[in-house]
Amino acid sequence: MQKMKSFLKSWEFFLVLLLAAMCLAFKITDASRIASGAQKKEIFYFANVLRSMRPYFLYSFMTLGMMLILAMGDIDISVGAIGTLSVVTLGVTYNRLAGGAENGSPAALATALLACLLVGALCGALNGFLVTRFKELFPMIITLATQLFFRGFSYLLIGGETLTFKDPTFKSLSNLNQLLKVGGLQVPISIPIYFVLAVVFYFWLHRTGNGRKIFAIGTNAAATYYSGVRVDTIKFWCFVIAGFMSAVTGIFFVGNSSSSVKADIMDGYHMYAIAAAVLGGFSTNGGKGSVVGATISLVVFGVVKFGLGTLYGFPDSAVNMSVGVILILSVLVPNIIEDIQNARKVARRRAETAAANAAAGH
Amino acid sequence: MQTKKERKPIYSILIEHREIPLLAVLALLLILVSIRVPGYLGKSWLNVLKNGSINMVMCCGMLCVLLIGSIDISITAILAFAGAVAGKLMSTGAIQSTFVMFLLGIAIGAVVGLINGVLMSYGRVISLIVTLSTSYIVRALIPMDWLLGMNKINPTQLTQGFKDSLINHSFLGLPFLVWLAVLVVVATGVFLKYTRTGRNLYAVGSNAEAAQMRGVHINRIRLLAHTICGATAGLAGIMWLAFYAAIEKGSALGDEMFTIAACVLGGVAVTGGYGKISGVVIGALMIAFIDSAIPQMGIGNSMITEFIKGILLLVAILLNVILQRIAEKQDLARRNI
Amino acid sequence: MPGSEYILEMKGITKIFPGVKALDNVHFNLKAGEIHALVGENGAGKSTFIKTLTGVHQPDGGEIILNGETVVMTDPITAQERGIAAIYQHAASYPDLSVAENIFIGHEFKIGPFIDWPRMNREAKKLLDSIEANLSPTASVGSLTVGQQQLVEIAKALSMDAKILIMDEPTASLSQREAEDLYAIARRLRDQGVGIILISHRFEDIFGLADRVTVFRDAQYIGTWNLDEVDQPMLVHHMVGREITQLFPKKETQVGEELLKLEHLSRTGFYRDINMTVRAGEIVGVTGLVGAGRTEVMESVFGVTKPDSGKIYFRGEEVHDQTPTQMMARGLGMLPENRQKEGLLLQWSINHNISLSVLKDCQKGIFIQRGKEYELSNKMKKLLAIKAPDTDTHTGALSGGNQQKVVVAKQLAAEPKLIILDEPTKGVDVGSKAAIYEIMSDLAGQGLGILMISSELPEVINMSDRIYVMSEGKVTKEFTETKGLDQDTILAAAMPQKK
Repeated sequence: MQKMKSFLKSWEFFLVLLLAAMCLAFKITDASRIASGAQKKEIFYFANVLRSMRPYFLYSFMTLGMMLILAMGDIDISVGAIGTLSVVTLGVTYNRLAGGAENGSPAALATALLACLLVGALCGALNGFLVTRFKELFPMIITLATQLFFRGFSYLLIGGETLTFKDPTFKSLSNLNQLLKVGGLQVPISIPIYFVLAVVFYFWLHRTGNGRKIFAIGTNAAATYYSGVRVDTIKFWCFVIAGFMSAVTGIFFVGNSSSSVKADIMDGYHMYAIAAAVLGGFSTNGGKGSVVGATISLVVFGVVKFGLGTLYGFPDSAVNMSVGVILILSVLVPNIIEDIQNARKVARRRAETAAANAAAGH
Repeated sequence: MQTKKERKPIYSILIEHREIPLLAVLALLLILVSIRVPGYLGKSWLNVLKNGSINMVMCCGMLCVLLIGSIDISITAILAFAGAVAGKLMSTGAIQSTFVMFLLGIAIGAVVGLINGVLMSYGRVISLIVTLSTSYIVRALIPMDWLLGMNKINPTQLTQGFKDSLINHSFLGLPFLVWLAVLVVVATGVFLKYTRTGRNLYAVGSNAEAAQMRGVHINRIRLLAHTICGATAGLAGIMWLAFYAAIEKGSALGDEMFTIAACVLGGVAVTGGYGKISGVVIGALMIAFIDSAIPQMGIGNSMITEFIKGILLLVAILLNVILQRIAEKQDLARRNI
Repeated sequence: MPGSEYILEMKGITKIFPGVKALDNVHFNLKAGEIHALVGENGAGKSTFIKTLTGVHQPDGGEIILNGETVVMTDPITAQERGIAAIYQHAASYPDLSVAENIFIGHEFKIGPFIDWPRMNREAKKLLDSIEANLSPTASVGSLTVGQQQLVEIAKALSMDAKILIMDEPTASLSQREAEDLYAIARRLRDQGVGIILISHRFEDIFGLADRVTVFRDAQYIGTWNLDEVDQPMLVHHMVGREITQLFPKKETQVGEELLKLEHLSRTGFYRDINMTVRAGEIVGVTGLVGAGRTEVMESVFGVTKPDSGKIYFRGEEVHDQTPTQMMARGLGMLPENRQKEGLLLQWSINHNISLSVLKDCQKGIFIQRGKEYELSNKMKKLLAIKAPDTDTHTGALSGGNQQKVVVAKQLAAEPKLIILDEPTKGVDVGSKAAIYEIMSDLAGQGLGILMISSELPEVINMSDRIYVMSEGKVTKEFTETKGLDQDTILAAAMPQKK
C-alpha cells in the first residue's frame, strides 16, 4: 500500500501518464487520418512507433552517460564533441590502416573501433581530471573549454572534409542501424542494446553501493567525502564512462549517416542527452533521477517525434520546440505545485497560532 | 592600528585584477603574430574590431547574467530569431526604417529574455535548463511557414539603407558597427558601475541572502539581468542581419559558447558577484583576434583556428586558477603561522 | 508612564516555525545610551528575536514599541529607516564588493542617477577613520580578516545613523586586541546616546560592557537584571535552568594504549608545530578561539587536507598521504563542525545517512541489502536514542541534537577506535547536550579515544581528561589536570599574544 502510494506520487508515474496521454491523443486522431486515406506507415500503430524510435535511441547511450554526471550534480557539455572526435578518430584510423584499399580488413575496422572507444574514454578522463583537480571551476566551464578543444582537435584531424567510406567492411557498421524482425515487428537494433545497458545502469545506480555513492555525491559532496567515500575517484570514472558512452553513440551514428564522417557531425548533441535526462527526473543540482525515468523520456521524445513529425507532418524544428516546452514544464510544474503546498502549510500554521493565541487570551 | 601604508604585493594585485594575465597573453599573441605576419597590425585591426563587434554586444548582456550567478545559452537563438523576424518584415515592406529595425530587434530580444527571467527567478527553474529550452523553442520558430519557412533572408530582400547602415557609414574612421558595440559597452559599463540597480546585480550575485535582508527584490534583479541579456542578443541579431545581409535558421548556431568563453576569459566569475566590463572587452577582443590572426599566420588550414581557440581557452582559464592559487598560497605564508 | 524611559520595548513576542516555537511570549526593553546584553544558550531564540526586530521575520504575536509608538516592521528597509542597525556574527557583507560600497550600499551618494564613487570613497574613509580602522575604502571585503569585516559592518551601521545597534556575537571570531577595539567603539557609541543590544556568550563581554542583561531560555523570557545584581554562576543557572553539574556525566575510565600521536605537524598559514597525543579511553579537549587552527589540524589528521610537514602516528603506525577513506578504514571517525554541510545529507533518510559510511558491510556482493541496512540503522537509533518516527525520516526534519546523534551514529557504525568531535554540541539544545555528553562518557568507558574540539569552556573543563589550548595556529598550553581548572586560566592561554 505504502509502496503503491509512493509510486503514484513518483516522477516515473507522471511520465507514464504523459506518455499514455500522448499515445491516446495520437491514436484518437487515427480514424480521421485513415478516413482521409493516409498510408499505413502514417498511422499510430505500435510497429510504426517502434520503428521510428531509431533516431532517438541513437543518443540514448549518451543519455546514459549524462545520467551519471547529472546524478553527481555536475554537467558535461562536451559529450557531443567527444562523440565527434571519437568518430573522426575512427574514420582517420581506418583510412590509415586500410590504406585506400578497395576493401579494408576487418582487423583494421576492429582496431579503428577500439581507437574510437579509447579516444572517447580518454576525452572523458581529461574532463574528469580537470574537474577533480580544478574544483574552483564549474564543470560547465571546464567542459565548455574542453568541448572547444575536442572540436578543434576534430578539425585538426580532418579539417572541413567529409570522409566517406564505400567499402563493404566499413559499411558493415550500418548493420547497427538495421531493423531486426521480431514476430512481425521491426525493432531498431539500438533498442535492445540500449535496454541491456539500461538494465545494467539501473542495477548499478539504484541497487549497488557504488550507485548509492554517486547520488550521495550529488546530494552533498562534502558530507559524502567526510563519510569516507572516494569522491574524486568516483567522479573521475563517471566522466570516463560518459566519454566512453559518447564514443559508443558515435559508432551508431556513423552507421546511420551513410558511413561518412565530418568534423561537426555530432555538434550540439549534448543538448539532446541533457534534455532526455532532465525530463527523466535528473537535475543539474544532482542527487535525483532514475534510469527508468530517463528511459521513459527517451520514448516520450520518440513518440512526440513520430506523432508530430510523421503523423502531422510538422517540421523537425516544431518537434524540437515541443521538446523545449516539455523540458521547461517538467521542472516548472513541480515547482509550482510545491509553492502551492508551502503556501497552504503556512496558512494552516498561521491559523493554528491564531487559535492558540486566542485560547491563551481567554 | 598600523598607520604605515603597506605596499601592495604583486600577487594581491593579481587577485584583484583578474584581467591582467589575460592582457599579457593578448599582448604576447599580438607580438608573435606581428613577427610572423609583418604589417599585420596595420591592416587587420579594423577587421578584428568588426568581427568582434557582434559578440562584444552579446558579451555585455552575458556579463549581466553571469554577475547574478545565472547563465543564458539562448542568446544565439534569440539573435537568429530577432534577425529573421525583422528581416521578414523588411522583405514584405512592412518596415523601411533602419532605426525601427534596431528597436524591433531589441524589443524581441527583451521579450524572450524576460520569459527566461520569469522562469528562472519566479519559476525557480535552473537557468541552464530554461535557456536550453527557450533556445530550442525560439530557433524552431524560424522555419515556421509564417516566418522564413525553408527560405532565408537574402541581401535583395533588405533595403540598401539598412545594409549600408553599419558598414558604409563611419565616424572617426570606425564603421558604425564598431561604434554600436562601443555604445553598448559604455552603457553597460556605466549601468553596472554607476547606478544602484547595476550594483544590485553584483550584490545579488555576491550574497543573495544579504541582499534580501537589506530589502532588495532579488527576483526583480534576476528578471532584469535576463531581460538585458535578451535585449543585447536581439540587437546582435539586427547587427548580424545588417553586417552579413543575410540570416537563416542556423545562423550563429553554437556561437553562444564563444560569448561565454569571452566572459570567462575576462575574469568573470560564473558563480556570480565578480566581473568587470573591461575584462569582458579584453576577452571578446582576444577571441576576435584569434579568429582573424591565426588564418593569416600560415600554419595549416583555417580549421586550425578552431583547435588553437580551444587550446587557448583551456590554457587561459587553467592559468587563471593556477595564478590565483599561487597568490593565495603567498597570502597564507604572509600570515606567519 | 514608565515606558517613556525606553526607546524600545518589545512585549509578548511570539514566533512559530514549522514544528518549533522559536519565541514564546518574550519581553525586552532598551534605554538610550545603554548596553543591554541578551544571553541564552544556542537555540534559546536570540537570533529569531533579533530578526523580528530587524524586520526579517514577522512575529506571530506581541508588539514592538519604538519611542512610545507601536510599529510594525514589515521588512528590513522599514527597520533601517527607523534607525535600527545590526552587526551579525557572520558578517552579512558582499565579499566581492569594495569596503566603501559595503558601507553605503542601499544609500549611496549620487549625482543625479549616478553613483558618486569619489565622494563615497572619501566618506567611507572618514567613517573608518572615526573608528580608527585603517582600511582602504577600495579594497574588496572578501580580502579582509573577519575582524576587519566587523569594523566595516560597524562603519555601515554608523553611516545609517543608527539609534539602536544590535551586535550579534561580534567578538566570537576576533582576537583579543580586535575585541578590545570593538569594546572601545561600543562604549563611545553608548556615550553618544545609542542603545546597544549585545548578544554574546562570552562572560567577559557581558560583565565588561553591559549595563543590564536579559536571559532567554528555550524560547522563553527568564528575566532582566542590572549587571551589578548578578554574578556569573547565577547567570549560568538562569541560562541553563538547572545545576550545571548534572550536565556532565563524566566517568573515570581506564586509560589504555596510545592511539594518535602528532609530531611537529605544520601547514603553512593554518597551524605550526603541533604535538598531541590521545590514548584509548581518554577524552582530550582542544580549545581556543575561532580561527586558532583547531579544525584545520583535525582536517589534516582525518586526511581532508595535507600537512606540509610533521608526522602522524595512528595506533602506532605512521600514516602517509592519508584520505578520509583510508583513515576511516584504520579506525578513525570524525564529526565535522558544520553538520549540515559536512556531516549529513539532509535530503536523505536517517537510514541512508547512517549506512553511507559502511555501505560495504550492508552489501552482498555489489548489491545493497536493504534488510541489513535497516538492521544497522535501527540498532543505532535505539543505541543513541534518536528521536524520530522511524529511520526513513529525512534528517533535515530533525532537531539539531538529533541530527548530531545521526552524525555520531554514522561514525560509530564504522566501529572506530578514535573519534574526533568538532564542536559536538554547537546549536544543540540543553537536553540533547546532556545526552551527547553521556554518549561520550560511555564511549570512553568502552575504551574509545575521543578528541573533542570545543569553544564552550564548561564542557571542555568538565568532560576532558586533558586539555590542549591553541592560539594562532600553535598549541600554547596543555593542562593534564582538569579538576578545579577555571575558565580564565584557559582563556589566558587562548588569547593571542600582544605583539
